[in-house]
Amino acid sequence: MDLNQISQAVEELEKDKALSLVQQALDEGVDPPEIINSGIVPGLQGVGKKFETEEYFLAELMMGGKVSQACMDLVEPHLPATGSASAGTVVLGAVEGDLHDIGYSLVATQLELNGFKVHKIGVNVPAMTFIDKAKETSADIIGLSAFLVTTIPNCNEVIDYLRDMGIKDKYKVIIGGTETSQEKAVAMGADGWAPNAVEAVKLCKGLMDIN
Amino acid sequence: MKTGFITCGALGQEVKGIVRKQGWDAEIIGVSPEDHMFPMRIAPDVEKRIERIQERCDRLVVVYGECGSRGKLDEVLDKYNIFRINARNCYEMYAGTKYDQFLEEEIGTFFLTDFLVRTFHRAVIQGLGLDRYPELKETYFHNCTRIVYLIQNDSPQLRQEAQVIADFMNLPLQFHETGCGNLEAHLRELMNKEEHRKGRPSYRTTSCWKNNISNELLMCY
Ligand code: B12
Repeated sequence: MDLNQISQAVEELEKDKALSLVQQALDEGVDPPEIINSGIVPGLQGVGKKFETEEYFLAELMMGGKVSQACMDLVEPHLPATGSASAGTVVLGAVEGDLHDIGYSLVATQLELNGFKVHKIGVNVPAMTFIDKAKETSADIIGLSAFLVTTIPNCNEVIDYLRDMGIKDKYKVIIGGTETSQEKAVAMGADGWAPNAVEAVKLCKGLMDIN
Repeated sequence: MKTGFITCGALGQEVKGIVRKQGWDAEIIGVSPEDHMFPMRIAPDVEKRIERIQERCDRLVVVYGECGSRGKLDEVLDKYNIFRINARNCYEMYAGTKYDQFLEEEIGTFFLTDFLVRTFHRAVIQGLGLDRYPELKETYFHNCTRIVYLIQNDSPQLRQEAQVIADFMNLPLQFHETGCGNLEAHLRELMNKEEHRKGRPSYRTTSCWKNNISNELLMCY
C-alpha cells in the first residue's frame, strides 16, 4: 500500500481514516517501522510545517500530535522486540515554574519516532530532579523547556548545578520553548537550542554523532 | 511635549484612562492583542508603530512586557533608543510583587485581568481553538489549579463573567483587586526617565530592563 496515504490522513487530522489505513498496512504485512517512518512521521512533520506557515494553528498542531500518537499506539505492539541500541537517552521536562507541556511533548514524540528513548518528567520540575533522573537513567541529553521569561533562569540553574557537581561533561544540555533562543543557549552554556521538534531531533542526532 | 505611547492592545483601555487622569499630552497607539498568540509578530508590529508615529511625537515609550518575542522586542527598542515598561508581563504590571507571591503560593495559578475576562471567548476559547476542538480543554488546562482574577475596575458583571470562566475551566476562583495604581507608577517612571535623559540620549542603560532590576521603580513608589 502507498504509505503516503497515512501521511496525508495524519496531516489532514483525519484520525479515523489514519487509523484504518494503519490497520490496513499492518494487515497487509507492511513492516511496522516502515509504517512509522514513511507514514506517520512525515504526516506529523507535515502538520508541523503547516503550523510554521500559519496554515494550522496551535489546536491543529495538538490534534496532529493526538492523531499520530493514536497511530503509534496501534503500531507499537507489532514492533519487533529488538533490544537494539536506541539513538540515545533524553530526559525532557519543563523547568521549575513552567506549566507549558505541549511544546516539549511534541519534541518527545518526534524524538521517540526517531529512535530515542525519552523520559518525560513533567512540568514545574526542580533542577535537581532533572539531574537525579539523568543519573538514574544514564541519560545522554537533558532537555529543558521554558516558555516564560520568569522561568529562563531555571534553565541556568540546571547547568550551574551540573557544573557545581563536576558532572556537566557527562550530559549534553539543550533548551527550547518560546522564551529561549540560540543566543540565550550560548550565554548560559547549554550545548544546543532548537526552535521546534524537527530541529530538536536534528540537534540531538548531531550531539549523538548520528547522521 | 508630546509623548507617543505604543501599547499592547490588552492594556490599551487602562493606559488611556491613566493618560487622561494624568493629563499628559499623548498619542496612544495600540498593537493587536492577538500578537500574544504569535509572539514573533510583536517586535515587527511595534517597529511599524514606531515608524508611523515617531515624526508626530517628541518622544516614545512602549507599554509591553516580555511577551515571548525571544528578545526581538528589546532589540528593536535598542535600535530606536526607546524605553519599555519595567515589568515582565501585564500581570506583574498590575499586581507588582504580589504576582510572584501568587505563583509561589500556587504555581498552577492562571491569571485573569479585566481585559482577559472581557475577551476570554476570542482570546482564549477561539485563540486556543477550543471552539473547534473542545476535547483539547483538558490538554491545555490540566496543569492549572486555580484562577486569580486581578481586578482593575471592579464590576459585578466582570466578577460574574470570571466565575463563568472558572466554571468552564473547573478551577477555584480568587479575586484580587489591583486597580491600575501599579501600572500608573510604571508609566510615571517611564515619563520620568524620558525627562531625565532630555538631551542625553546615551542615558539609557538597557540592563535594568533586561535584568528586571527595579531600583528606579522603587524610587517612584
Ligand atoms: C498554550 C499556551 C498556554 C497554555 C499551556 C497549555 C499546556 N498544557 O502547555 C495555558 C493556557 C495553560 C497557558 C498558561 C500561561 N501562559 Co501561556 N501560552 C500558551 C501559548 C498560546 C502557546 C504555547 C504552546 O504550547 N505552543 C505550542 C508549541 C508546540 O509551540 P512552539 O513554541 O513552537 O514549540 C516548539 C518549541 O518551543 C520547541 N520546544 C519546546 N520545548 C522544547 C524543549 C527542548 C529541549 C527543545 C530542544 C525544543 C523545545 O519545540 C516545540 C515543538 O515544535 C503561548 C503563546 C505562543 N504562541 O507561544 C503562551 C505563552 C507562552 N504563555 C504566556 C503566559 C504569560 C502564560 C500565563 C502566565 C498566562 C496566565 N494568564 O496566567 C500562564 C502561565 C502558566 C505557567 N506557570 O506556566 C506567555 C509567556 C510570556 C513570557 N515570555 O513570559 C506566552 C508567550 C503568551 C504571550 N505572548 O503572552 N499558556
